[in-house]
Parts: sequence; C-alpha cells; structure tokens
Amino acid sequence: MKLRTTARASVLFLVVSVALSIGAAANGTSHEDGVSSGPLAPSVDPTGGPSSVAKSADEIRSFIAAWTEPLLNQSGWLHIREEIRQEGLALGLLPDGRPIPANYILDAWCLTGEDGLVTEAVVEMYDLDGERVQASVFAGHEWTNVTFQITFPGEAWRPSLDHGMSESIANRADGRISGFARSQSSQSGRPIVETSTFEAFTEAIRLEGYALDVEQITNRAVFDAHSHGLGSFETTYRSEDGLEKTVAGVLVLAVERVDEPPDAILSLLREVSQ
Amino acid sequence: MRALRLIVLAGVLVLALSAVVREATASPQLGTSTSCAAYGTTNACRSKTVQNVSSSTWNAGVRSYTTNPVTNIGVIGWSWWTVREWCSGVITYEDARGPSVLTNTNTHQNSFNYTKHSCSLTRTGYSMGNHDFHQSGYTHIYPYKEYSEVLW
Repeated sequence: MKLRTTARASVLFLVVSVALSIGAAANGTSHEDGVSSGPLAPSVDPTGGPSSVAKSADEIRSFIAAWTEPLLNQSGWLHIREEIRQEGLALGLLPDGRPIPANYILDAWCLTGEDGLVTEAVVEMYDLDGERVQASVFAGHEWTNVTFQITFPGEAWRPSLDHGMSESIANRADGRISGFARSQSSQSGRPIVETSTFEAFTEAIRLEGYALDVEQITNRAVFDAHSHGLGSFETTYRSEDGLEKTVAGVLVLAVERVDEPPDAILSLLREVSQ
Repeated sequence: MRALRLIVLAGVLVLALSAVVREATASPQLGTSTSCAAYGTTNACRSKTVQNVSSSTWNAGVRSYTTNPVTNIGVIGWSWWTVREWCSGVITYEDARGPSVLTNTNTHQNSFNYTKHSCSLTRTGYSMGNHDFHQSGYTHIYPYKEYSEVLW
C-alpha cells in the first residue's frame, strides 16, 4: 500500500514535471514569434507572423553588419570617439569623491585582430571642457584604470559599435528585448534608417539612480542610409504615469581605422604593458 | 501483469529519484559566486551576484547566510557593498552602500536593478564588499567577496 502511494506520488510528480516542461517548451517556441520571457512583457509584432519578424530582424542585422564587419574584421588600430550626454540619472561618485560626469567624451584606441577582437586598448574619458577624467589600458588580458590604479581581469572583446542593437535583435528569443522596429526618413536632408528596440516590463521596474519606476525602455539608433554608419543612439524611459524621458544620448564623432594612435596613447600603453 | 506493473513502478521510482539527485547536485546559480568558511558552530557564507536582466538592465545582489547547520547568529550582513559598472576600464556608474546588518537570524540579502549605461566597447558589472558575521563567543569577521560579469 505504501509502495503504491509512493508510486502514485512519483507518477504525479512526473506528470507535473512533463506538463511544466511542455509549458516551458511552448513558451520557448513563442519566443520565435517575438514574444519574450523573463521580466519583459509579451509583445506581438503588428507587421506579421514569425517569418516576417525573422526576415525583418535579418534585414536590420545585415544592414548594420555591412558597416561594422569591414570596420572590425581587420588587423590594426580602430579609433572610436563618442559624446555621451545623460539626464535624470544619478551616477554616483568616482573613487576620488568627484561625481561621475553625466556628459563626457569617450575616446578609444583599440588594436584588433582579423577576427575583430581587441587585444590592446587605451580608453579615455574627458569632460566637455576637455579635462581628462579617467583613463584605462587593456593589455595582457587585464584592465588597468590608470587614474585610480585599479586592475581587473578581462578577455579579448569585440566592440559593440552599434551599442548592442544588432546583438539584442539577434538574441530577442532570450528575452533581451520585447520588440523592435525599423523606419526610413531623412535628417537634415540626408536619408537615414532608424532602428529601435523596446523592453516592456510586465511590471514597472525600479532602476537605481532614476527617480521613477520604468515600464518601458526604448533604444533608438540612427544610421546613415548610404554608409550604414551609426550617427546617434538614444535611450528613452517611459514611466508608469506615461511620461517619456530621454535619459541618454550618444553622438558618434568618429569610428575609423588609423595607422597608429597618437604617441601619447602608445606611451601610455607601453607604460602599463611593461 | 503483476510483473509488468512492478517493472513500470521501478522505472517510475528510478526516474523520480534521479530527479531528486539532480536537484541536490545542481550547478550553482548563474551569475552568482558564493564562498563558505567554518565560523564558530556553523559555516559563514558570502555571496555576490551580477546578472543580465534585459538588453538595457542588470541586477546586482549581496547575501550573507549560515549553513551546515543553519544557525541564527548575533550579527549577519555586510559592512559595505558597492556596485560598479565599467565601460572598458572607465567607471560609468557606482552605487556605494554602507553597512546593513540583522541580528539573531541566519540570512541577510539584498539586490537592486540597474540601467546599463551607454558603452560601445565592453561593459562589466561588479558587486563587491565586506560581509559581516558575529557569533557570540567568537571573533567578529568581515570577509571580502567580489563578483563580476560582462554585461551584454
């Protein structure tokens, strides 16, 4: 009798397990339809079914790759310079007690291999008055923040020139985003392609450093329609009360291949590498 | 018929037991690092987490607890806890928190969600700080623990 009870319990356990597995599998399948899991709310692409979503995703990724791949997949130095402006975000303090600047220039010199992976780099953050706030060096699988003398390990990495837009769309099934969109228009007479990703949360989420609970995050990238190069990138929060606020904007000032970085950059790299 | 029923029952039991064993030997939770060390009559465990939540958000956490056996101790928590976001070796965000302890209990934990700040290079999230354990009759200890993850 006791054995029968145990067996019944085991059968029940298995049935419940199988049912849960089927449920999980069903959720997994629905990811292909642009429906996300995790904290993000399900979203249905209004433009059509799974195949049109996949086709649209492929088109965006191909468009971006036509710009990033030739830039990344070659040996030599890559220079990236961006202006970042942030509003409404509390960013905290640097180790020396100064506030982390909300607005700054990020200037990066990266040595890549043919696989696009960065093996050495010098990255500097300048305030908008041109004062260097901090600098770091990546060499020998290690990051060294030379301003604050902090070192931590790191692996060779691939720059995310499109600020993760292509990666987010490619991995949408993992619940990274809940939807995406693409449109074409013109800006100052130049044809542009706008690509947006959306993260809509099932419940408004509290993000440290922002005053209001956020129910949706939209990332919007503007690419030049001809060169496919990224011109700008911005992040907008929609809070529970429907208020939309652009909290971060990036203006791409340069993404270029160069023969060599300036002497000062090479000196800093040598100094840390030795 | 009875023999067949017994074979089915045995199969079901083996499957059920293997599920239980898998539970007991499950790999550590992704994005979490835990270290435990003998302390007084128990083991003091310190844990830090860094997890990607969505494309634009991540989560960092801290947990102090006792185990083997789970024991209520006088003071448990952390003396400081800092969450930091790096963009290619430069600091783009820092959340430094002071001490937080509970008394006469066996677990104290906290976690927060953060935005991923603009970065076209590579981003890393850090959760770090000293934990705080004190059991009556034993030395007060403040073991350090840190954990990091690449933020995609």
